[in-house]
Amino acid sequence: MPADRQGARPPVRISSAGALELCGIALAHPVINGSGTYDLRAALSVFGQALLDAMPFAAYVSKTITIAPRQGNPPPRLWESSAGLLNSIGLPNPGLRAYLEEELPLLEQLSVPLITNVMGADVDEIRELFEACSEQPAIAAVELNVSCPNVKDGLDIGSDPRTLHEVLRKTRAALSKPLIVKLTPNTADVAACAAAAEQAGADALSLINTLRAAAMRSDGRPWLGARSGGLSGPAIRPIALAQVAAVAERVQIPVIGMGGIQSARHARDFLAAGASVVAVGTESFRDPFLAARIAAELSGERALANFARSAAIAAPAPNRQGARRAGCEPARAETE
Amino acid sequence: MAGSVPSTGSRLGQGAGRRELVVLANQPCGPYRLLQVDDPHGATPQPGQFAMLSALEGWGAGADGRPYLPRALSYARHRDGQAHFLIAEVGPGTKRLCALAPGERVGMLGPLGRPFQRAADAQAHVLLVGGGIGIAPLLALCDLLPGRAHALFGFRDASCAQAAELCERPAALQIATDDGSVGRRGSAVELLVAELARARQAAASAGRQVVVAGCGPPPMLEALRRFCRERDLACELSVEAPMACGYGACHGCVLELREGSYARACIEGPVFAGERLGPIPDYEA
Ligand SMILES: Cc1cc2nc3c(=O)[nH]c(=O)nc-3n(C[C@H](O)[C@H](O)[C@H](O)COP(=O)(O)OP(=O)(O)OC[C@H]3O[C@@H](n4cnc5c(N)ncnc54)[C@H](O)[C@@H]3O)c2cc1C
Ligand SMILES: Cc1cc2nc3c(=O)[nH]c(=O)nc-3n(C[C@H](O)[C@H](O)[C@H](O)COP(=O)(O)O)c2cc1C
Ligand code: FES
Repeated sequence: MPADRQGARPPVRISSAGALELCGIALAHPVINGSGTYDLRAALSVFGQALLDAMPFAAYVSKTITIAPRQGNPPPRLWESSAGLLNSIGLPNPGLRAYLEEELPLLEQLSVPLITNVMGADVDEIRELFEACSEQPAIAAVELNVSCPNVKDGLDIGSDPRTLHEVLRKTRAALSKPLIVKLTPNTADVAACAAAAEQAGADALSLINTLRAAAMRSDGRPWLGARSGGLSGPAIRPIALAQVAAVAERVQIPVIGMGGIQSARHARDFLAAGASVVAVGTESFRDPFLAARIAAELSGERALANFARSAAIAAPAPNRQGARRAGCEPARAETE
Repeated sequence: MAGSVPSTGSRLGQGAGRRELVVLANQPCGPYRLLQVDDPHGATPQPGQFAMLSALEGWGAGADGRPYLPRALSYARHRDGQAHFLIAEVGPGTKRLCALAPGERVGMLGPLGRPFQRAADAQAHVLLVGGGIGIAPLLALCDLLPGRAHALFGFRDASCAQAAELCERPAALQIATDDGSVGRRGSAVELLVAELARARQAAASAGRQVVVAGCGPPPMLEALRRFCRERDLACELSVEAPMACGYGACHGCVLELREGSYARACIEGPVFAGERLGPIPDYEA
């Protein structure tokens, strides 16, 4: 990879008619939600039609779905830190079958594409999740959460490039849809993990997930019911930016950047660092419609720095099928 | 309801999401503050509902880099398009909210959560059992039931007990303080113990059922929950949990129910039927 590649990406203007795509999925704008930060059923029960009319996200990413139902971690699950939030929610979800039968019909009715986030503890589980999602026309893409302890050694599947590569290589074929790998930031070399995922057939990458963190009560015992948790929010934004830049530098596939985004300015920073799409997570807790305002502001500007990256990748210009790409043609099409 | 998108309008009134509102007044009330916010277009809250509040300026600038997230506050009153909150300063968020000056702006999302339901029933003989700042949602319930609710309020001392003056048109008001400086020495639950037989008699002769509506610090609420269980008393309790979003999005605010599952305090509560609850957690203890 030439060291000056980033600088070589020419800025591109996308007209309002120009389509933005992520792995072949059309997006109205580059702002989506972070997995697990926007329970849609709950939000609909509170905001009703207003939410559907002003859906803040260009695509909806589900919370992490596992094969077996999970109740989540014991409370307390939240701790506010300096400009950030620690959570030990513990991925509560109804399990794969109930998700497909009970939640999918609701999510299907959204006007935006659905990305289903899944997590498995080993190759067999991941394959089963991939196969089940492949059969669902309502699911546009799958995001694989690799912040999951591996049954073999207890290390996160996504924290070691070789393990990640092996797991993806053995499972990728089971998924007939675009695969987004949600990298873990809790690793020595996130760019190496990104490269491993790309090589093993990921079509896009998303980062960063929460950083492992803990908080103490005044008596010295851990505050969180699960003892430790993950840090999100503005506190992690500079770390997220550095990781997104390092990954975007290393791979050709599109990057979904997130971590503490609170404003259009922050979103632009991620786009400038090489992200094609950004996700808003914790900030939606402060303002459920913030993402819509960020999107409106970005769209108003027309010149979206991220399209620079995509355009650079999609070159030579009037490219495949003539569509304007946000760098999201599945890489598999080229590598396989 | 699996499979259908609820198509009701927003429960939050005009503008659906977070509103930017102006502070009209912020007065001391004993050690607490009574914050009044102009909210002409918000939906009318039901007693027991809450809002997520933050100051638009100076939020996040405190020591420790906090507050960051908005803070949950029960509506203590809603009148003439104004929302009233009774606030106890316990940390950086409530400190900033207590310092708001008239004319300053707040971000507000609400009304949120499940209100008192049994206690709002016309057939209920209502006992409001509140401890300290926990009287806030009970004031709103008392407004809904003019002349009908019996308030049994416990406070730390005489200064805190001044907040009881905010209770308008109760059928009766009894006060207890920890130090005995006002009213009976003891807690609100002890007032209930002393009052129950009479209340049951009065309710029976009017063809009504006694319903306890409670809110207060975790140890008091736990004592109340147990007492009501032992005496087979219908009760609804407003329970606190650390919250991030207030609208069900984060799954952070769960309480363990008696049958072992978790419920989000912000959308299944904060008001729960007492018999659904397990022991009230006290994370400070
Ligand atoms: C539904 C509901 C209704 C409420 N209604 C009212 C009301 O009407 N009036 C009122 O005064 N209060 C009310 N509260 C409580 C109020 O929300 C809290 O007191 C407030 O959030 C505290 O914020 P703080 O920054 O002032 O204090 P914090 O420093 O956040 O401390 C408050 C408590 O949270 C814990 N804590 C301490 N540090 C942290 C941390 N870093 N992260 C997470 N937790 C921490 C401790 O238990 C501490 O006692 C209500 C709460 C709920 C859930
Ligand atoms: C309460 C909460 C729950 C989350 N749940 C999930 C999850 O289920 N799956 C996942 O991949 N990431 C999950 N995340 C991580 C977020 O999607 C996101 O990567 C991270 O919070 C950083 O972005 P932010 O700072 O904008 O929140 C969660 C984050 C939070 C705060
Ligand atoms: S506070 Fe977020 S789900 Fe209740």
